[in-house]
Amino acid sequence: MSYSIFDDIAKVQVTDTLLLAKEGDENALLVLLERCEPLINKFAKLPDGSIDEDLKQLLYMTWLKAVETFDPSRYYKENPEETSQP
Amino acid sequence: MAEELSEEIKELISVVFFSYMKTILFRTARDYIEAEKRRKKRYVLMEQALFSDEEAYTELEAFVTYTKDNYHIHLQNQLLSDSIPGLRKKDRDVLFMLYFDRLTTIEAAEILGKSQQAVSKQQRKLLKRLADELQHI
Repeated sequence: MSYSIFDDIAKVQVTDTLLLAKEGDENALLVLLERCEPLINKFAKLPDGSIDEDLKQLLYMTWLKAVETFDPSRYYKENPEETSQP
Repeated sequence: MAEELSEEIKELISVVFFSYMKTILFRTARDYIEAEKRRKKRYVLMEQALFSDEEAYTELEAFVTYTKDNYHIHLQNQLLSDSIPGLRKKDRDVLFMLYFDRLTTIEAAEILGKSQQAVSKQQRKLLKRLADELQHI
């Protein structure tokens, strides 16, 4: 079954998957990447509709770094770790 | 930890995470595209230094998209193609770095162990030498 990342059920699952991925679960990381892949493809697309492969690779690396940087604990802890995320 | 969180918190984290990711990826793509535009602008500057006609401009566009191993196959301008092997090795290195490998003068300077100003000066001399040679053939 495929579902959008915007679906309520999917939202809960994304957070579960994200927390697992941040704990080092590689399968969870791959599932999370699969959910975010449409976004990566969207930004890697050139005006003529083709994909810029160099940009896509860069976006994959950026995505991975962003997963590492994102701190979910700031939304459920009173004193979350200092981060630069919005 | 995941089981302890309420569904509302999980939804909030998911929405923020996706928004965060969207912002980061957008900025990365925007910066990449702007850097590519700056690189392309440099090629035009090189073209202006070397040639002044439309045909040469087309040649140069092809010139910068191929590697140093196969440029001679793709260059229709035989004079330009023939001129490159005649350059001094250190000039060829700079030419390939700036116009084939698409490095900036700062990046080329780091590789060559020179200052950026020295590479820029060498680039100007190289372009002048190449242009002079093409005019005399």
